Amino acid sequence: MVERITVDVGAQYVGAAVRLAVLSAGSDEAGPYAVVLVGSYPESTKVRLREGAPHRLAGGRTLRLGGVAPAGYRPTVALEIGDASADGAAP
Amino acid sequence: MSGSPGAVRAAATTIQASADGAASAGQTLRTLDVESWQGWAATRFRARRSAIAADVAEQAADPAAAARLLAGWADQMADADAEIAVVQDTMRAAWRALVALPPDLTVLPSLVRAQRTLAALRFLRERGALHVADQLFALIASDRSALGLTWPPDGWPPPQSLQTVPLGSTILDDASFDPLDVQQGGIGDCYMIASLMALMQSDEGDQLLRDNITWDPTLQGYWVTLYDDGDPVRYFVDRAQAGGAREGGAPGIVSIYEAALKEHLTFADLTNGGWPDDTFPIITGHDADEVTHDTGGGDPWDTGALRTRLSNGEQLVASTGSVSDDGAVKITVDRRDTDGNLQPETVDLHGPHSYAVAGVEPDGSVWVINPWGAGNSADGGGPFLVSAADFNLYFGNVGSSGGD
Repeated sequence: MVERITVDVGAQYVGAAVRLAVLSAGSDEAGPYAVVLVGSYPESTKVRLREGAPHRLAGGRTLRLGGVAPAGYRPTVALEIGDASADGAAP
Repeated sequence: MSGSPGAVRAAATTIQASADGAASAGQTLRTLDVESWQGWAATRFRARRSAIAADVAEQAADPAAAARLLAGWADQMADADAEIAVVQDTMRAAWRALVALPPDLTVLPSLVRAQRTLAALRFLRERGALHVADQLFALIASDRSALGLTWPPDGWPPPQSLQTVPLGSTILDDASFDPLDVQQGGIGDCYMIASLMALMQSDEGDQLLRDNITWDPTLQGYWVTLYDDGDPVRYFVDRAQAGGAREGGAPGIVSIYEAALKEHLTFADLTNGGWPDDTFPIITGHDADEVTHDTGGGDPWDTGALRTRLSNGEQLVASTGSVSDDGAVKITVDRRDTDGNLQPETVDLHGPHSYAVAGVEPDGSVWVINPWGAGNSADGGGPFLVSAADFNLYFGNVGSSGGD
């Protein structure tokens, strides 16, 4: 099952599969990115997500960056929590 | 009543026809026999045909969604009008009995009940219209061809502003008014959640928050009093943001205030960050103020003045600026263990972000609480003590609820 969520920078998502907070987001020369603190303190991990480069979550699921809200909006990220089968997610 | 179900249904039919036309044009392009065409233009057209057909067909998606919305609203409006007609018939019959000779005074209670029901039905019908208008606006705002905006991405759930959940009727009875039960959600309103948490640290603050919320059993929702330049403004709230603030994992007092603030500020303004000294007056109706500090200037905070404010009954929210390129910096803080002793630990301090202030020590160190709440990814929740040096380095603003 794939779950699609949007989270503002400076805000968090509390779900059954994962808890995370979005620390920053934007675009640079390599494209859109989001810095996400994944997991609960003190075991949380800081991850810099890029489109097409998913992060492997505990429990075999993946966290993917779906997009970063375009200019004019407060930085908001679209995140997809899904199964790890699709591609090789970095641990 | 304003709004005609028939006229809205007719508009839905017209819009659906244009959506069907676009879908049909896409299908025609896709099935057009171009294999026999010859020449440079034919080759280019064949190469681009699929993309053009897909673009044309995509133009049908939003009008079709708008047509479905309007058709659904026409049905809801018709149902509401039927209910209203029944209540009006009841009222007319009761009125005739009341003015007859001799008058039948026993119908008075049912007449009063019917009047209340009629007012509630009319109110909910108006709110339904506003909700549909919001959804139509979201279709426009998420259209890649309008204003250059595309959010959320195609195929994703609707904008966060439109995803809501019902509010239960017992929130005022069940609420703990404990800031440690509060969790900010996916909305960028830390300044508001931290302000509410700060107010929850005193009995007076709890009472103020409680007094400004009233459950309406007829409308099945809450009336929330906010303030505009000190003047009370009332908002009706019957749903919380789906990804919004929670208390103990469920919609609570902060969820009700978040929904009311959404009405007061609009969602775009609510989610776009803010300052506690602007937020306290909206919630309390009283003047508030702020103290700012140059984090790069080398001068320390006057934390003695902050201690005085707390002892005068003011509630404080401290805000960080940008702390690093990736939005967080690791700092060593102190936290009380179960025996009450201070124990050092390392947490992520986020910025820009607002934290409720839980106390100021004589040495200038400051107790803060992250509105992300219990178990959060950065510091685990609960109060932790930021050293005076780190408070000087990272916190540039303290908003106060005001002492009067």
